[in-house]
Amino acid sequence: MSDPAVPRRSTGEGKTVPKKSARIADTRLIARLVVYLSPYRPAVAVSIVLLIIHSLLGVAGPYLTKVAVDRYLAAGTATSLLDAWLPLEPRAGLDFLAVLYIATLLIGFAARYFQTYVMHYTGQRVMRDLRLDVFNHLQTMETRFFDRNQVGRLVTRVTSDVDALNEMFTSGVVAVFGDVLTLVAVFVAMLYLSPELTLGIAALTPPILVVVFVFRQHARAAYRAVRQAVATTNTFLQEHISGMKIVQLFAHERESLKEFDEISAAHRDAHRQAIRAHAVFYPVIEWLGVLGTGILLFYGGYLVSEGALTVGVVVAFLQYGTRVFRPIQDLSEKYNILQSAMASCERIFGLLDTKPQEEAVGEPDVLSGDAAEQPVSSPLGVGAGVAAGVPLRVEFRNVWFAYKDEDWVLRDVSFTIEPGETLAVVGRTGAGKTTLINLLLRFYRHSKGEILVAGKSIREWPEDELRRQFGVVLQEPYLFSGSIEDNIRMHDRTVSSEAVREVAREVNLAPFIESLSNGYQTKLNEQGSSLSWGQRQLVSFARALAHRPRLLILDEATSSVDTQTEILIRDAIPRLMKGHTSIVIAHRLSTIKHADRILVMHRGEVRELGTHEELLRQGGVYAKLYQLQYQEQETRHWQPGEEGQTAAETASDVGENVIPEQSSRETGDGEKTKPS
Amino acid sequence: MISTLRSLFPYLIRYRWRFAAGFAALVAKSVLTVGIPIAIKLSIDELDADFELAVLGQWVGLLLAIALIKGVFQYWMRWILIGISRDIEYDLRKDFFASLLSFSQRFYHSYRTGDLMSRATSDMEAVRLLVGPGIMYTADFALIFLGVLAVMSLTDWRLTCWIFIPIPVISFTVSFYGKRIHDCFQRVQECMGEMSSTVQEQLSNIRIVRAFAKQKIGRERFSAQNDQVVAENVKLIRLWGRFYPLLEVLIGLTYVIVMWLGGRRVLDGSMTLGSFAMFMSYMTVLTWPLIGFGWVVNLVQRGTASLARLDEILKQRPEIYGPGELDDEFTAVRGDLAFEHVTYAYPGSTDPAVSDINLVIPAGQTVAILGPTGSGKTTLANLVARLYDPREGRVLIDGGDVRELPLRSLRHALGFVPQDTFLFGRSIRDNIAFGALGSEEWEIAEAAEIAQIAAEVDSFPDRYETVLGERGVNLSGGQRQRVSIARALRANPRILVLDDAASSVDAETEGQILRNLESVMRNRTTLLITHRVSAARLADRIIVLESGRIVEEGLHGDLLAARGRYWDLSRKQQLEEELEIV
Repeated sequence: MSDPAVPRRSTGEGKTVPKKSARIADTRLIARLVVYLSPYRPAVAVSIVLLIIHSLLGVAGPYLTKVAVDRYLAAGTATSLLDAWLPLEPRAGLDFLAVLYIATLLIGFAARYFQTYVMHYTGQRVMRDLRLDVFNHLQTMETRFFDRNQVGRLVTRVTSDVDALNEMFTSGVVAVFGDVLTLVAVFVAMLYLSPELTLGIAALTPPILVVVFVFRQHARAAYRAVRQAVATTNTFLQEHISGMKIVQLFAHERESLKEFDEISAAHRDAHRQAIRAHAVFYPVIEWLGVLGTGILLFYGGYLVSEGALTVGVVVAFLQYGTRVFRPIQDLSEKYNILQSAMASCERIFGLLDTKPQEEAVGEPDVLSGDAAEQPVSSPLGVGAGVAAGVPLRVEFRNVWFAYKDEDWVLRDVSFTIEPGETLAVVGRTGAGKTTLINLLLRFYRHSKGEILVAGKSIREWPEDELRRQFGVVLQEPYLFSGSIEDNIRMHDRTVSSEAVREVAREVNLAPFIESLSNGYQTKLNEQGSSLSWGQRQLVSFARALAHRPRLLILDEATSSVDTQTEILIRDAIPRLMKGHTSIVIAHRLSTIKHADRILVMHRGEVRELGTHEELLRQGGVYAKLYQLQYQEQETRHWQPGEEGQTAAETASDVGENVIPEQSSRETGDGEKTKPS
Repeated sequence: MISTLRSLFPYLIRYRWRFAAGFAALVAKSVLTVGIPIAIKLSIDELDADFELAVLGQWVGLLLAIALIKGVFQYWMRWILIGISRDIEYDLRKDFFASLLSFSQRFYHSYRTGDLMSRATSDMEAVRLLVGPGIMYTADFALIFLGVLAVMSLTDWRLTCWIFIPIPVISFTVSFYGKRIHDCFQRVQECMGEMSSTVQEQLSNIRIVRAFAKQKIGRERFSAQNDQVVAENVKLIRLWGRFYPLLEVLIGLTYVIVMWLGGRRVLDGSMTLGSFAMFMSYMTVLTWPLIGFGWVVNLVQRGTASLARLDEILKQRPEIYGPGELDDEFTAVRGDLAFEHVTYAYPGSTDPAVSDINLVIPAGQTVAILGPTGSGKTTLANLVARLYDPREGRVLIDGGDVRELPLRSLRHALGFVPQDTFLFGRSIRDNIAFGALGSEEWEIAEAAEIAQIAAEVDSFPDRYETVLGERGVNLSGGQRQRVSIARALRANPRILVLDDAASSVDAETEGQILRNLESVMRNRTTLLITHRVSAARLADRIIVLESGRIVEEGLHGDLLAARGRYWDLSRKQQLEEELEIV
């Protein structure tokens, strides 16, 4: 659909969207919208028919009044369309007309009700389709797209922008159509009753349009000033609430209050303009309405006196008059709705036109490839153990990566992880550790070299298939709204409740969950604020295991965790790693010690590779890192047995005295010594 | 509700004369509105008889004149009464902000910015709508309603009785549907909210979703919620679809009654055709008040609820204040600083952030404070500035309790560089001169020079006029921090508090800044909170905090020799430097 040679506008970044507001009659946008309407053609047709019926019935009431006046109330002999059915006796005639009037009201009610229902229902369906398209489209975007674009903005595309379109469909287009129909119907009725009088009324249309136009000019200018004032006020408030500490620390309160006073006064004065515009507009437009009545009465009176018109027509026109002026005013208001809807429309289609920059290789089509996702996950049987997946072999072969240009984040990285082996990756912040994982998960495509999983280049793996081999724990323990169980199984019904419970036990999470009154069904909110950071990490562990991975990818979090949970986590990690091929970005000494080998990353390169003891003996980067980040963990998190021994061993290895008990803080993870 | 509204009275009273004028206009406008159909009646009655065009012309002229005068009053009514509502909004907003300015940090811990913003914006607007259109339309509707009722009853009270049968039904319909539509709308909003948080969640957690190959499940959840939104909307449509047409029918019914029963009276000869037309005309006059009434009730309810939310803030009194806040003169401060058995715990926490701190810093001395994150360094700084008051003990300045010093004088004497840099979205000049308005160009440049930001500022095309933030230049963390330092220096403080002031600045630049500061610090009391030994060694004295207590104190050399925590920190920082070089 879109020409690849044309540079595409990135819709997420509002700045690149042209400032010029969308034109109302942007036919291309309308044409694309109509595509969404086309499945609902019958509904649209029905709706239009009902709208016409409703407009016609609206004309009937005043006409019936006219007939009543002319035929029975005033001493006239006027003829009407209904003469054939009208009783001669005045009272009976009135009864008949009243019943007819009520009937038109009721039919009008039915027509309006069904019309509203059908139209809004259709609108809702169209919006649903559109939302689904936008959401599904977002799902096809490469991971990096979400780094570049604010999630909030993207959410707006799916929600508010689609809503603005809905507003256009339901209040805008339909109302405009209804207004126009009513206008036409009333004018036709008036012309039928009295062309002269109609002309008299129609003469008022130009002044009304002029007044509306002038008002709109003023109101628009006023509202522009108001919007500006509101924005200024809100920015000022927001900024000063956030920076209140600075305001107070620098004793700036009086000045701030003065500034706010000025801004507020400007805000108020901007509103004054708008109030003035309204205060003038309403009386003027209403007076024009009364002028219309005056013309009716005087000119109508003249025509009556000439015998050219009946009194009934004048009475009917009195009612028609109000039905003409309202739609004329309304029409101009709809313009704004249409305008903002078009702007939303442009943003939505702009996003839909943004194609993923990195095409997924062999990825099943998002919209139709659901079947391809089924095969792997079979429910985890009771007692099946977590090591069910057959371990994988992973190899990085001369891998280079840069986020942009030649700014290498990884340089010529090569290593292998043998089936069943655990590899710990250590290094300072920015050494490229997390990038290794991002490449392995294919969040980013590596620039040069080869990454092999089970002997096959990851470029050849279908993305979902590849990822289903992995059990992933990312640094930040993301949570989803839903129950704890939903979070562990990630709403995947193929993971059984038993499996969830089993992995929860495995990672030391079960006792905590069972202590909650709702157990596994306890609801979490998105931020997971009801769980501590450490508990959220345990949930992520359980999540990784519940999906029976063949390769465990663990990016250890550096955040502090309370002592109790820390012990649970430290105990859980070796159990996670056991029986899996694992790659662990380690921050805990205990994790490192449980690894088979340690890979030391430094400035994007592999510097050292070997066991803990070997690397310490080398006295290189690892030895320094060890002293800096891990050594004190030994003395702080003293564990009887194995850990204690190694601590003593290593201490003598480096030829250092055991440093004095360091800190009573619960965790360190090097955070304290690292410049933040 | 009445008790809530009472807090508006002081604001309303302020404008009593304008209110009186506005209501006078309102009464005149309403009376004339009711008068217009009478002129129509007179005209039509004229039409009905064997009439003269000149007499008809008189009546029409009367009609237009009444309408014209009505229009003039209508203008004044709106201009005055809506205008007052904007004035009251202005007053309220100002009071609101003044309250915010006086509240201590503790308040800002319990109220989020977003919450305060929504009170200052949407709640403020709801109250404004209550005060303006709420009051105006209530009075207007009531007067028109009563006026129409009076004229109609005087003309034909029996017909009037009939007409008034559907009217309570209309009001009932409006309030009945109004409530249901509101509830239903609420549910639609909830569903939309859920759906939008699912989108939010799926997109911001996109990595984990993809890592677990669970996009399809996300799509299914979204799709289900999407359908739910449609379902709830359809419920809303059903109500909506019935509501307006029903109103049409009911209002139409009043016309039918006039035509039917009024018609009979005309036939009887007990009513003129003009009165008949007048009744018809009154039905049109009544339409808007009848429909609008439900809307106004809603407006008043929402306004009252919002007023309560505003009041919650306005009624609070500042926790931290000093004597003589209205003084324009500042009390002079020499700069002796001391902590005397100071203990402080943050609200809601039982563990004190600092406990039993005793420290004497004579004027002009520089004390460096080191310690791990959470050891209480920042708390000490905040206590000096009275962002908090100690739970126990005293902070002394020049030998007197800081609580006895006017707050403005205290803070005027302070130059504070907080850990979290906050700059305002205005020019660099205004930011640096924030604590010293009316600073000369050279003074600002001098402060910038010392803070090592001058060269960079000079490289911007607009130099010190460069606007920061969203609409201007975005400075790096380090640059922002240096502007923050310049701002504290420009305040020309007696006591300088640097709370990890150079954390985003590299060690070399920090060293340069500290060397520049040396002359500045020489005659000022300085609290230098840092995590770099290289910075701390420049101080006259070094203090190491841990878990809110002073654990080591002394000179650089002495502390190194003691081989304690300071020594350990120093050794680690050496290692880090070595790693940098590898």
